[in-house]
Amino acid sequence: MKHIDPQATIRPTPQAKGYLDALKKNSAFGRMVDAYVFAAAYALKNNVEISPVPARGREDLVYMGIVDEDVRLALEAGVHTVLKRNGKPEPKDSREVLDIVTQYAEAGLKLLKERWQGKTGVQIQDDIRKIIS
Amino acid sequence: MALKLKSIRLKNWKCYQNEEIEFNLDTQQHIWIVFGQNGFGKTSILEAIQWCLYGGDELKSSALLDSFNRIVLKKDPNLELSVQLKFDRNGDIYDISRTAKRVVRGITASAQTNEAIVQQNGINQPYSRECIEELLPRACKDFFFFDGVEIKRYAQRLHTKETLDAIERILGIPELRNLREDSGRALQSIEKKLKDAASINESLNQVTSKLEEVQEKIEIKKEQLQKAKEEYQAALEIQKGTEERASQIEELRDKLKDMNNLESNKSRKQEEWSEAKKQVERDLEQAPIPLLLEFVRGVAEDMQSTTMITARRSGSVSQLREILESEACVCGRCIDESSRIYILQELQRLETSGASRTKDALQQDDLRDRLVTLSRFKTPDFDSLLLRRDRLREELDQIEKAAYRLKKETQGLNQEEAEDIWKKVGESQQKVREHQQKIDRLKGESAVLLQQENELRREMEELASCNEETANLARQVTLADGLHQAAKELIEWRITERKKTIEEQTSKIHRSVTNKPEEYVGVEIREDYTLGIKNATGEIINPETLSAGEKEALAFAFIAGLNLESGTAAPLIMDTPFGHLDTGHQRNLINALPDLPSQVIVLATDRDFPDYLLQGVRSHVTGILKIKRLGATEDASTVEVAE
Repeated sequence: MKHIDPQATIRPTPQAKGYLDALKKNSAFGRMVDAYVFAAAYALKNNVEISPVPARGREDLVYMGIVDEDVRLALEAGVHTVLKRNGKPEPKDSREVLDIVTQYAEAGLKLLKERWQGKTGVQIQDDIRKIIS
Repeated sequence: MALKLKSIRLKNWKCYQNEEIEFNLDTQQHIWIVFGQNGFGKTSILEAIQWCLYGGDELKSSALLDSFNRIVLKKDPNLELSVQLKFDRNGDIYDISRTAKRVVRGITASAQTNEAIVQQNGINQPYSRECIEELLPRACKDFFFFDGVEIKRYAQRLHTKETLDAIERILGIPELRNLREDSGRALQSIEKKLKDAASINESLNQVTSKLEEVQEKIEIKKEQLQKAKEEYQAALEIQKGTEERASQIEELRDKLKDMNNLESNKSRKQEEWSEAKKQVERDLEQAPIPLLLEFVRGVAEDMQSTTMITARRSGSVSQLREILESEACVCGRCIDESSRIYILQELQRLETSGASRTKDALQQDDLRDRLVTLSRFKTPDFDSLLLRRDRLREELDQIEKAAYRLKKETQGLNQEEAEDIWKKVGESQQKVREHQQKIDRLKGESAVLLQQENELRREMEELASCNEETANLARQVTLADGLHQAAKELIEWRITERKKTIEEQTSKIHRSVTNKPEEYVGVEIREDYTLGIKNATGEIINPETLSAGEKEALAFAFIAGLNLESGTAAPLIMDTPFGHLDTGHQRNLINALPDLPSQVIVLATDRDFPDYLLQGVRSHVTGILKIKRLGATEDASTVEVAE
């Protein structure tokens, strides 16, 4: 199982960044990165179809190191498992892991955006409660 | 202004028991000759005139006792004598009379002289002395009434102070001197006043300056007072506002307490809510874990089985090495040495090749442990967490609403302000008091300054009035100085002018009386009224060098000149003036008499007027009187008209 380099930078797409900003503003999440990794977990959980994320227009968000260590480990395990289930090769390095995480995050965020359409921060948090329970 | 003697009446005066001598003034001539032998009573007439005019000043009381007629006195020891003179001055008749009474007390007799009585045209004059002094000044009497002896004395005492005073009196100089001295004194007095006034003027300047200072101070005080009043008003407003606020606060104090409780509750709830919110955020950070737990557990289980295989292999190598290195044999079939070495080499190789695998295994173990641990992750109780957080939020909202309501009711009042308000009330009251005190102080100072201003103004007005006085005094000084200078100039002019005319008169008379009219061409009167005689060569001859006769001729000329210049044209009554002179001077003097403008009464002996000389002036003589002695036992004389 390949690990994510904590020094690596999370670089969401501008669309994702915009929604992350909205989620932070409506207090659904305290940090944008938490919403981003939650979206990745949501997508992994639901084995969402992913596609490569174009490099163009992506902006640096934060270092991966600020994400909770257990969350990182869980993400690594999720990526490892989902790829294995989907018959896809194990990532060669941490950068590839981060790319896959990013693809899932972007895909998951799209889903969540649709799901949380018109919801307040508190309602989103309540939905998260439902999602994880 | 010619003064002429009209008559003389003598009663019990020396040798005259009751005598009246009249001088007819109704003629153009003005010379009278009264002949009398020595001792007949010529000088008594002259003395009677002088006593009548000047009283005790002329004749002492003891001497007067001898003036009572001896014969009558025998009959009446308390005899009264009298002399009455009648003068005519430009038609006005002056009747001057004086009486004296002999008083006997025991064996002592004394003479009591009465004040002269003066009547002008039959009317008594209140101030007889002044009146007489005005008619015939006593100081000048020697120029009116003199005898030969007197002339001699004149000739000798021309330089005396007395003569000088008399001459100046004739010239009216003393009055001018008095005027000069008076004007000088007045000038000094006014100048002193002016000096005082000048100092007052200086004081006025000082007072004016002080007044300006005070007025400036008053203006400043006014401004300060105005400012203080404004500040007082502002402080009063603040005090009112503060007191109103304090009153409101008092009313709202309970609500304020509620609000404070709410505030503290709110603060506490805020903290709790904030903590709950943070907890949610923290839990949300790990929200992905529950979603990925399935994968974590799967991976952890996979890693668990891999680890067990590796561990088993490691344990086998380790056991084999222990058997080979052990001395004891457990099976009884010991292997040979070469086999042992071979096995050990193989173990060594296995260990070397497995070292790296062991490291990976350790990492895998660590990862497995972590995954195992993570797989046991307990999902936070989001239900209760969010519920608590939302409940706290609701409570907080309620508190905030209540607080907002109370805040509105307390008009933004807070506890700090409530605690502070009475302090502020006290401070504002103190400020008002301070401003009031300041106003009172300024008013007091202003009042003092206004009082000072009034006093200074009064002082200034007084000084200003003095200043007007100063101006008046300055004008008076100018006038007094002018008068003083004028008096001095007048004196100088008068002396110069009168001396000149006296010189002219004296020179004229002197030329007529001197025996050397060709030689002595004129008389010079010096500053001190000493005389000098100009001779034909222009030299001034000192009278001391003259003969006695020449001196007397000069004295006569001077006396006659002074008489002419006296302005009174008083009668010249000469007692035996010429008898002792040489015939030349005697003739000259007698011949000069008609030229004198005054009435001339010559009391003469035959020797004074020898017949041949009398004939020379006879046509100018109004009358010739003759003193006759009565009976040998009568001690009496009488005057009769001879011609």
